[in-house]
Amino acid sequence: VVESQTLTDLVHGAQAGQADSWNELVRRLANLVWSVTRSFRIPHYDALDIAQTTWLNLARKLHTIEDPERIGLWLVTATRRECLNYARRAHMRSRAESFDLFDSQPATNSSPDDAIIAREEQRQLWQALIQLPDGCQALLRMFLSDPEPSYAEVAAALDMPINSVGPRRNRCIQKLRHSLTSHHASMYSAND
Amino acid sequence: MSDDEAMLRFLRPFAQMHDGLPAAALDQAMSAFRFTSRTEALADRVDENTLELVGVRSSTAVRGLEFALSPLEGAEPETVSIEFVGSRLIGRASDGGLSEVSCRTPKGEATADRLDDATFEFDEFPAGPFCLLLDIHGREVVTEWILQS
Repeated sequence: VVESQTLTDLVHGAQAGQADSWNELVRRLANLVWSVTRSFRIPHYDALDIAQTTWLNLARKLHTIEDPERIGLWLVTATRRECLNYARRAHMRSRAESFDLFDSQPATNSSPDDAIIAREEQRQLWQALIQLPDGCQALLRMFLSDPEPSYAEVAAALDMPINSVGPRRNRCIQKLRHSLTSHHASMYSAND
Repeated sequence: MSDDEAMLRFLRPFAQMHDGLPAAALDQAMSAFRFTSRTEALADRVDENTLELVGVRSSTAVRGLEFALSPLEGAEPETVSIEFVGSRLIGRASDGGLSEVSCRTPKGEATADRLDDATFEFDEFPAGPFCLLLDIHGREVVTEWILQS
């Protein structure tokens, strides 16, 4: 039943002490919280602590939430605050986390050969992304969250005007395209 | 679908695989719910500062946090301030009245190593999130969750 409920229903349910509502709220919004930590490139285990702190504080303050539809913005703002505190403490803002790009299986249902090719293309695209300037990287990492966050949530996470999110997203994708060879870029056309 | 959207859609599964939500984060978020039904008054964080103590050969950053207690009717506003100094946590209640202070983590609680009417101290603060529970003038108060590691 909770799967079909709105965010408002879920927040009200959680405020009334219903664990099912809380768990569904977490399922819908945990990716959003995580994507904020990733956009700040917080190292994995510290990002886990930050995400946990954010959820603990939401649980503690749940009864104070007056506009349940904006719970995503509340979470984004709280996570951002923890990330900034972390960055300030650790002077980690500019340190990129190194990713092991080769130890996971591709998420695809196609044939093994297709999967290998697609995975290699994705890997190259990812490599290009993590070499983008910090601002673009943070923004695109937010948009790669699943489900994709709203512009308002991205704006809150990155402390930018909401009406500049779309244009900046376009510019960052253009930068990503330019950093690839024309051969690879052509593979991501919507017409293919 | 635009080419831009197609590109993000193509990359999203790979990003989720390498940058996506770990199961541990989901578990921790779900288990946070057991901390909703507390009856203590909440002390909100109202100030944060970092002071750099410069020595002859090195410097140490001291992080300070201040929490405001919701005032009782007719009473002056009270605050609880804490500082992280090395591995220690040192705290002070602006108006005294402390009779018990403990540190709660998602896994358990520990009482302060030293406590008097207006100050308290923990020799070590926990790694990961924690909050402080204070019995202050007979009132149970809990701070926001804090992350210092």
